[in-house]
Amino acid sequence: MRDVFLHLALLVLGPLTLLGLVGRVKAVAARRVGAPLLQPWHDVWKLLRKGAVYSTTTTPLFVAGPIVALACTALAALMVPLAGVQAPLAFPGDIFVFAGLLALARFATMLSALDTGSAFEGMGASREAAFAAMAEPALFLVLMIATLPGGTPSFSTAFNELSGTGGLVRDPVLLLAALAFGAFLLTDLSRIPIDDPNTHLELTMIHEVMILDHSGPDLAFLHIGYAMRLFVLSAIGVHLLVPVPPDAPLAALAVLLAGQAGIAGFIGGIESVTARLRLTRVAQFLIGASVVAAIGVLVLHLGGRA
Amino acid sequence: MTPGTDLLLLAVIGIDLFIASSSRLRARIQACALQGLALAALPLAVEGTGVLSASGRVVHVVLAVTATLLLKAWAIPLALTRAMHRSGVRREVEPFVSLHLSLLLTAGLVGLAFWIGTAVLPRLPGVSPLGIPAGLATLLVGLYLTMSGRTALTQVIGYLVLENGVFIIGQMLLGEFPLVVELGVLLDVLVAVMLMAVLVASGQGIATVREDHGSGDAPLDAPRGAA
Repeated sequence: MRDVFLHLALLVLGPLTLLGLVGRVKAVAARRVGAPLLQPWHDVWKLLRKGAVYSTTTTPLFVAGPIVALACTALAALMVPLAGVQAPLAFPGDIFVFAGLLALARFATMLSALDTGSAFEGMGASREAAFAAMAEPALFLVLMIATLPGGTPSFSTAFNELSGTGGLVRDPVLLLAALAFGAFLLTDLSRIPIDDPNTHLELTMIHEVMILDHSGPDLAFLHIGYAMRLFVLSAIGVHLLVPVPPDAPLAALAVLLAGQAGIAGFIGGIESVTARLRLTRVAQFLIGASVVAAIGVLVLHLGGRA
Repeated sequence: MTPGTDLLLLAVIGIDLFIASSSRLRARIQACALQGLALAALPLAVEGTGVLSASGRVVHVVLAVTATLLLKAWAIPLALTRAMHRSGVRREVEPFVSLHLSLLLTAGLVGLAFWIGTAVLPRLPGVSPLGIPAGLATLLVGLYLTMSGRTALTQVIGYLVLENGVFIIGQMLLGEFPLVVELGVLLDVLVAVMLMAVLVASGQGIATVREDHGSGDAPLDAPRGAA
C-alpha cells in the first residue's frame, strides 16, 4: 500500500517540477535569469482557473482530445516502476499496453489538432504521426533489450532483473539501449533536435502547433500529460542506465530523482548547444536509433541471453 | 568476455554506423580517429591485468598500443584533414547511395557479420563472442564505404575502416602478432594513406580520382589544369 502511495505521490509532484528543471537548465546554460523551477505549476494553475475558448468549427473531438491524452498517459504511468518497487499496474505484457497507451494519447492529441481545421495544425499532426511511427521501432527494440533477460515482457520484472545484474557497468548492451532510448525520448517529447519547443514559427513546430488552439483547462491537461510523459520516460531511462537498488526504498528514490535530474540536464543541455535537425535528417536520426537498438538485440542474442 | 572489450567493440560498430551516415568529411575523419583510439585500447582491454604479470609482454603491448595510437588516432587523421583542406571538399555531395539507405545497408551488413560470426564460424574459446562479428562488420562496412564513396577522400576513409576491421579480427584470432608484423601492417596502411592523401591534395588527383566537383563534363583522364 505504501508503495502505491509513493508511486502516486511521485506522479503528482514529479512531472511539472521536472519540466521546470529542464527550463532551469536551459536558463542557466544561457546565463539567463529564467523562469523559476515551479513555473510549470504556476502556468497550469493559471490555466485551470481560466475558461476555455472553442472555435465554431470544432466538434466534441476537440474537447475530448486533451482529456483522453491525459487519461492514457496517467494510466501508462502506473505501469512503470518508479522507485525500485513493483508498479501499481504490473502484468506480463504491460510494456505493449504502455506503448499502446502512449500512442493512443498521441493519437487523441493529433485528432483534436486536426479537428480545428487549421492548416498549420494539420501539418504539425502529420509530422507528429510520421516521426512517432519512425520512432516506435526504436522504443520496442529498446524494450526488448530491457525485458528479454527477465523473460517476461513486463517493466517490473525487467527492472528487477536489471537491478540484479548491476546495470550498465556490467552490461555494455545497455549502453546501446540507452543511446537508442535517448533518441526516442527526444523524439517522443518533441525536443531539439527533432522539434524546438521555443520556436515561434508555426511552419516548423510539431508539438506546439498541435496545441495552439487549446486554451484554459484543456491546455492545462495537455501540459500535465506532456510533463507526465517526460517523467515516466525519464524514469525508464534511469532504470536502463543505473541499477536501482531493489530493497532500499530511500536509496532507490534518491537514484531515481538524481537520474531524472540528470536526464533533464541532458535534454536542457542538448537544447542549449544544438539546433533542430533538418526535416530530412530526422528520418535518418530515427533510423539510426532503431539500428543501434537492433544491434543491441543482436548482441544480446549472441551472448546467449535471448 | 570482459565488459571493457565488449564496450570497445560496440563503440567500434557504433562508429561504423556513424561514418556511414554522416555526410561531413570532417566528422567522418574525426570518427575514424576515435575508432583508432578504440582500437589502440583494445589490446589493453583484451589482455587485462595479465599483461603486468608476464614481463616480456609489457614491452610488446606498450609498443603496439603506442604505434596504433600514434598512427590511427593521430597521424592518419591529420593527413586526411590536411588533404581535405587542400582539396576543398567538405562534404560528400550527392552520394551514390542516399545516407538513409546507406545507414540501413550498413545495419544489414552488421547483421550479416553477426550471422557469419556466429552461425558459420565456430566459437573460439577465450575470445569475446562479439570479437569476430565486430571485426567482420567493420571490414564489410569499410568495403562498402570504399565502394560507395564518390570522392577519393571518402574512399580512403572506407579503406581505413576496412583496415580497422582486419586489425580487430587479427587481434581477436591471434591475440598476439609478432611485433614486427604488427608494426609492418601499420606502416603499410600509413604509407598507403599518405600516398592517397597526396594524390587527393594534388591537382592531378582531383581530376582523375574525383569527379563530382566542378568538372562534371570534362573527360576524366584530362588533368584539370589542361582544360
